[in-house]
Amino acid sequence: MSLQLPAPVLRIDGLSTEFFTPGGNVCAVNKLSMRLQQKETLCLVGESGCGKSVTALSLMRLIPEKQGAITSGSIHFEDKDLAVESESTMRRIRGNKISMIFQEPMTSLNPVITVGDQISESLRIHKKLSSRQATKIATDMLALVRIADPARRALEYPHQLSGGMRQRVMIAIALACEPSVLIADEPTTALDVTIQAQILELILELKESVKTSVLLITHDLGVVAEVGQRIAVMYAGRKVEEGPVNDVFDQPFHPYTQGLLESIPRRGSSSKVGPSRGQLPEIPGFVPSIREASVGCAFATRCKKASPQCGVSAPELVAQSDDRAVACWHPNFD
Amino acid sequence: MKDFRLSAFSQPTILAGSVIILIFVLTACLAPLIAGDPLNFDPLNRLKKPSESFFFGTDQLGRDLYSRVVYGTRVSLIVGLSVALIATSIGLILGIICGYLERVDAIVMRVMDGMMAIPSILLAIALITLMKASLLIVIVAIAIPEIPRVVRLVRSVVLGVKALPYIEAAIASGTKTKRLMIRHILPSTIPPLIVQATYVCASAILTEAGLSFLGAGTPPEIPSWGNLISGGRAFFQISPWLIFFPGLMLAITVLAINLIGDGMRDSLDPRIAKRI
Repeated sequence: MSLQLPAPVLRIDGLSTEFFTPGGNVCAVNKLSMRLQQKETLCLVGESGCGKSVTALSLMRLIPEKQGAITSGSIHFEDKDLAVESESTMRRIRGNKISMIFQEPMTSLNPVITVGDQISESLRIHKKLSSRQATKIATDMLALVRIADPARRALEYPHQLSGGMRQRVMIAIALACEPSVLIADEPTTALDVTIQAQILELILELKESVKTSVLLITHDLGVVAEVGQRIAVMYAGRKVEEGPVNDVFDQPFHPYTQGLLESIPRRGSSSKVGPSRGQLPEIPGFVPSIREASVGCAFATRCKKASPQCGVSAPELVAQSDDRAVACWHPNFD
Repeated sequence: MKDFRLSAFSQPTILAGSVIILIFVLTACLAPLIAGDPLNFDPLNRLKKPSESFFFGTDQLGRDLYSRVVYGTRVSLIVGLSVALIATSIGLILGIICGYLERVDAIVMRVMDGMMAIPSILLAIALITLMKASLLIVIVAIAIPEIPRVVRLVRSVVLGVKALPYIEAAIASGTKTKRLMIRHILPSTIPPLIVQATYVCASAILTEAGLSFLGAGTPPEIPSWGNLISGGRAFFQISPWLIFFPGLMLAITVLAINLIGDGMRDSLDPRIAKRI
């Protein structure tokens, strides 16, 4: 008897998102495939500009029409392909079945509407609740995200709340309709460290009670280690490695993942050799501009293991075992 | 909102302006009680100086100038308020639509640019000559040239607000375009619009006086400050009070409204107030 994985909640196949610029089309997300299982936390990591946020916006179909578009691939969710669905279907899904927590709690709340009204808004739009019912659930949601005195807070405006509280409100808004997928785009970046831990804990806890799957976008590997079940590493618009968090952290296959993990500053960590002795370890070089279409592996110029083959053809993502995959000609299997 | 109400009246300019306007409003409402018939001829008392029986003197037909000025308050206030109301409501609707829908924007804003190229008083005169002069026509004719400036103001606010993250967040939670415009964008346009409305009001009162002075405004049987000044012009050298009193009232009213407008601007945007 073989163990059958349940159908994923969200399945992305070969998704490409391009932006139209005067210098030609720029591919921000390149043939990305991903599965998000029920009730799992998948972390999407990579440095700035690698296409993490564009992936999130593509899933919600929020890429500004004039500036860019999904050019190929499909996003399967509840027998629908979100890549081609109509705007009105998307509107019914956004904030209802798939919702999103934004990076900036300071600016993502409307300053002239009370937080209670902002939470009840999606309930009224999607669940067609009366304003009294919606207000009641909004107050319950505030209590759920552990805001003290929720009935009073519901009547306050965003400027009366602290950053951490605003992010809690954002979470309450995102989870009000009990979505099956929650996309959290760097939800803790704008917060200080102690609040970060509280917010992450809260997201995980609510994930269990609301039974939602979380796609957590972050560049903080510490966050990944703490909350993630699976990790997908992106580099220059492509997914280069994927696997269970513990396995990937124990033995990263891709030299880029390896470099990222080595770059986490630890107490006493520094380069052991050479003139850079005393400095923190880093990956040399820069992320190539996605404007320059590269023939080979995008990481080749920064890679210690690069060979002539790397500069000629880009490696495909190859499954190494049931749950791990890597896109590299010279994966690290030691 | 509670905080705003408190701070609004702690602004001395708003308080002073409001008191003056309140006095004028009361004057206009109570005109029949505090003044005589503004149309009553009295050939024996022509061009009398201000005295105990004629506070502001009389005109060339012996009509009591005080009564006429009191009744003139009605015209000025009605014109000022209605024009402000009409111009800001139409401007608000057009401005929000233009700021949000780019295709409509391209067409409507060109029409607005065209309207702004014509001096407002000329446009008003043209509109009045097309129709029979009445108070309503005067109001409409003054309101139309005021609309483009309101549209521009609202549109610029909408363009700024539209790009803010909370609007994207609202779209990401499934909000429809109409709801987005009314619930999320419209409230941000209100504070600058209130300030603009006071300026529109003041300039409408002046325009009405100007039109009446030129003989294109309020019909002569309705006394307004503008046609009082116009009528007194011929006798200016022998009885200067004929233009002094209506002119003074006009100046005080416009000043009071502008005081309110400035005070509103300062209390609605404290950052500007502190810098000045």
